[in-house]
Amino acid sequence: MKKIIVITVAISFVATLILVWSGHKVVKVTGDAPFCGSCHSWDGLIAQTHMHDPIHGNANPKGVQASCTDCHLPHSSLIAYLGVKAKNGIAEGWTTLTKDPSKKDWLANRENARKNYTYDSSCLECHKGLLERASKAEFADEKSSKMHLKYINFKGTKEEMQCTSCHKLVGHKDLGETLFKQKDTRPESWDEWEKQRKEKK
Amino acid sequence: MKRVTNVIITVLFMFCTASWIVAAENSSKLLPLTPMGDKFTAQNYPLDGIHKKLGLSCVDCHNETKPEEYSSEMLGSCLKCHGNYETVKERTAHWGHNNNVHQSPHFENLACDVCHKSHSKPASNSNLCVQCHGQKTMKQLLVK
Repeated sequence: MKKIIVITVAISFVATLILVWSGHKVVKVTGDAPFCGSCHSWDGLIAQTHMHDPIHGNANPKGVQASCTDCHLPHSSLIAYLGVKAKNGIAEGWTTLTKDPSKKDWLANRENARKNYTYDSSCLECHKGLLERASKAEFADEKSSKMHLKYINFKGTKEEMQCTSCHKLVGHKDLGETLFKQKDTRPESWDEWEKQRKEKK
Repeated sequence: MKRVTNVIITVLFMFCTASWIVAAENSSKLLPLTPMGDKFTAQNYPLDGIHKKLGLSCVDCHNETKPEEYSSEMLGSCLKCHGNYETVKERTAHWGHNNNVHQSPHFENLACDVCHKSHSKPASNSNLCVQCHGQKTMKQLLVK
């Protein structure tokens, strides 16, 4: 009897370790670039703008960078993180399989992404002490403190703002320009104009 | 001789009247330059849009010492919050190479108040580009 209990406990222990380890690994791998790029190759340009971003992206000179889910999933709690991850994963998987990326208005979607797919809890996960700093008297003169105090005051009211209400260009360098150029076929130099003219003939 | 003098006086008078009328027409939209009593209130100099939402006060933008000296140039204080001209350029880059108002091939960087007049309600529609350019896309560019 005792032997069975010991074996059961030992196997459960090992099984739990394996499950937790592999679960953690899956969540991590599905949260960063190679995975996000595999389906999102259709908005590959957007991923590239992140790679060129010198502050939050791969072009950061100090090597500090944010991965896709560091910003695009909420970090308020583990349940929120995993829940939104599962929901978005399914929804976006469906969209990737059924819709046509060339028909989507990516430029207009930026506002949607800023409002609904970038979370204050994610920003504050790294920029942890920011709001506390804004409330401290010794930092009261910093221009960021003044604005962040307003953010704190507006929270919970109908004037509530998000980080991305003001910080609109975070994480993706020259996103507007890149997305515009993607759809714009007009020539930008005399040589290009000549080339297009010849091709038209 | 008297007739010539009369003609000259009449022409001068007409010229003065005409220029006064033209000046009056053009200045009707401008705010008074000289203080007349207690003119420097939030009511007389209203804000719009995000500056209004953030509840900015006069000194948040105006670096000059006395309200009488406040100018729209504000000694360059726009960039106190709006970073640098590079950032501003990136904000409007989604209109493309031809319509990026902050990346003009003619001006390296303009003073902000050439187009942006924060105390006009609604915010000023002074699109500098259309003073020369006639393209439809440029006519649609609205100053916030």
